[in-house]
Amino acid sequence: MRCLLIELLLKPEKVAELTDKDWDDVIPQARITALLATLYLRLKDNDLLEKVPVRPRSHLYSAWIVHNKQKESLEYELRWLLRAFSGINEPLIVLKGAAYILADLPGSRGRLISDIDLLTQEKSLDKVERGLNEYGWLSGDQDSYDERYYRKWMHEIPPLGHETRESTLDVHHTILPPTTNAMLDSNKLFSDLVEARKNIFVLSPVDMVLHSAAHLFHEGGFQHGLRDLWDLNRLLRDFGESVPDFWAALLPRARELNLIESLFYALRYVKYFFETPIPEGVLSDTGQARRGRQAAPLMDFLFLRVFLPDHPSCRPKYYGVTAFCLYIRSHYLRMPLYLLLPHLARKAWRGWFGRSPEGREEEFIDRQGGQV
Amino acid sequence: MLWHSCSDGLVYDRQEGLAVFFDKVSGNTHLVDEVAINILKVLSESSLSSGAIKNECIDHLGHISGVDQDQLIEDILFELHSLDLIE
Amino acid sequence: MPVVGDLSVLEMGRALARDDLNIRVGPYIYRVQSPMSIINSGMRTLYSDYPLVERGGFSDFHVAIRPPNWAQQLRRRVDFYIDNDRPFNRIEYRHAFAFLEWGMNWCVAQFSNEYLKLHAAVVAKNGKAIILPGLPGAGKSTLCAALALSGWRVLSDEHALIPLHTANVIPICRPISLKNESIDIIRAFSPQVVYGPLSEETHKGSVVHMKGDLSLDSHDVSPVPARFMIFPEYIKDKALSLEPRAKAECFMFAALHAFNYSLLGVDGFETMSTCMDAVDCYSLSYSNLDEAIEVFDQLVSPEETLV
Repeated sequence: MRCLLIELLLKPEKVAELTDKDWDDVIPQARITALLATLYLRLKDNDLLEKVPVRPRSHLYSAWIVHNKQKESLEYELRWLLRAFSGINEPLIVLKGAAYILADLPGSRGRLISDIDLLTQEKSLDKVERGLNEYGWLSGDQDSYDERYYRKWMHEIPPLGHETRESTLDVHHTILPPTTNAMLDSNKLFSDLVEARKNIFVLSPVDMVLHSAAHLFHEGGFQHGLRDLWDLNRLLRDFGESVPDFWAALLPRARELNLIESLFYALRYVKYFFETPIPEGVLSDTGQARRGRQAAPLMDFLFLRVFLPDHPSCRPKYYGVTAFCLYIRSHYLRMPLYLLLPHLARKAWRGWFGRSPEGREEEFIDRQGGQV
Repeated sequence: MLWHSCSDGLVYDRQEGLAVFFDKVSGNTHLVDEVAINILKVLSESSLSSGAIKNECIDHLGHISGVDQDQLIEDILFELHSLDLIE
Repeated sequence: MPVVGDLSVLEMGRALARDDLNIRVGPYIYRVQSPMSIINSGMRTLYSDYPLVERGGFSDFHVAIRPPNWAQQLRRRVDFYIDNDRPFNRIEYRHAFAFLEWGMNWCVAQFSNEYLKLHAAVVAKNGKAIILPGLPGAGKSTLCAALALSGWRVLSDEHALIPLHTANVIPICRPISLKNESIDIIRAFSPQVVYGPLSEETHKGSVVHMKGDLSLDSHDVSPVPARFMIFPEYIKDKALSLEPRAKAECFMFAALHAFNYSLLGVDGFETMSTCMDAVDCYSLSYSNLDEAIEVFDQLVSPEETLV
């Protein structure tokens, strides 16, 4: 299946061949997958922006404005987070998109974030939450089901929104849900942290890749699946070149953290979609290490479809079914079966009735009403 | 205790008694009065005590009567501090 | 240039159903798709003079309004789509037209940052634009509609698009949204007014859109220099008053209610500063539309004499 967005990300020089009609597909594809700003910087870094016609270019630029503002806001939030964490004497550990940006990894160029993910030891969770509360980050008016779900079965306390600045923090104490079938000893993560900036820590390169892979293949939402896969591609390319022994350390660490399945699929699909240069042997060793619990042909059928943008211009047959199967799968991976059904049922029920259409309209008018 | 600026601001001031202050650090925009804008201006040049700040602002306080000027300066400093503009 | 009004009902229906209807709205091209007759007739009424753009090119926003499946079709409920994504909850069939209009506004509010976008109506006469920021309920749409029916050009009833580091406004003329009692007020003001489909009992009450491109140059996209910023307020039985306002205060108000002022950072501040220096600022309270329009006419008259 030909998807222009993927081709452009991979080979930006192709931009010269694109017609207006092609841009009419690429911009929606990139908007749906949250890759507009990434594409903007990919073209800019290769001095190819002027090859983009004015109208599509302004959409790429508009998204870059958002990315740029997010970077600035992240800097400001980090100042406050440092103050909050120095008060409770715990290390400030940042995960995912925010970590890529603050560590200035090449893959963070154009990366959009919706919240700031933090990691802390399970025993420090209460202390960290109280410390953040003091600085204005509060758990919102989650209803009791959500609250219980988050605290008991998910790997996080409810998202903490700042009362005035409206930034959102997701505080995790592990990188996987505790109920998932894959058991992971979170304590191991804390021994390898890297101090990206004074008093701000991120995961080690190998752990960062494994976390990204685990996140992608254990979470339910695939709307930004291609973006997450792009992250992995950039991390692997970057670390593969700049970190000595990166490739040699990857599989042993995956084994140690019990994340071989995730690593296998991550490597398989980044290579498929983005031709990531993975050393001979790493992929086959990972494959051998996984003792084939799931039928790869079925997973290929599902994943090769679901990573494509949900847009008619590159959507294969059965997209809806595929996305739903993977949604079930991620929930299966995440919690014991007896919990799965009530949760899915409730989630669907809440989706249908949780918020009135008027409420949503109201929100959309309010959003139109503008914000500084 | 010395106050100093922790903001990096752009100012829109057309001598109307009110001015707009854009803080590049936080990205926030504030509407501030003449005295406050003067405080931000002097603090961006050097760190000062409350007393020294009052002396610097004396020209702008002249027309404000009927209030305790020391208290007024303290209130403004407190306000600017809570906006994370000075510390 | 071909316009929407050149299409017959059937041609229009076919273009809408096939996702082939491309219209130019200010600096943007929208592609609109819908199988619904209410959209067909509403668009034929309100967009008849909008330029059509040939298929096969680039459109800025691909929007659609349709039932997502047959079950919802039976329940007469529809979704708004942008790029195949549904950002909002489902709504009733009878609100479809108002919802499409809101959705089309939302596209600009959400995705365009090449301009500073103030939440304001903009009208122009004699080459001078007047920006009317206002909170919902201050009567800015009503005033805007009355101005449109009195020979003024409406650049927008919702978005003031200001290119960075200028004090100009880019026209993006759309149908003007009127609510509740305003609908009858404007009908009484001018019987010539053209209304689209009425959406009753929305969360904002009754909503109707009025044909807003009543000037010959409505679809010209050249920038118009901004000369005034007026904060209108309708107050029942109040004698008209026009009071100058401090620029810093107006700066703050307009910035607070802008769509992307803060997103633009330093550029937002600098553009706002440039714009504020170019405009004179007033508060206008009025209870009589004719009197208010007279003030507007005097402001932009070649001699620029003030009341």
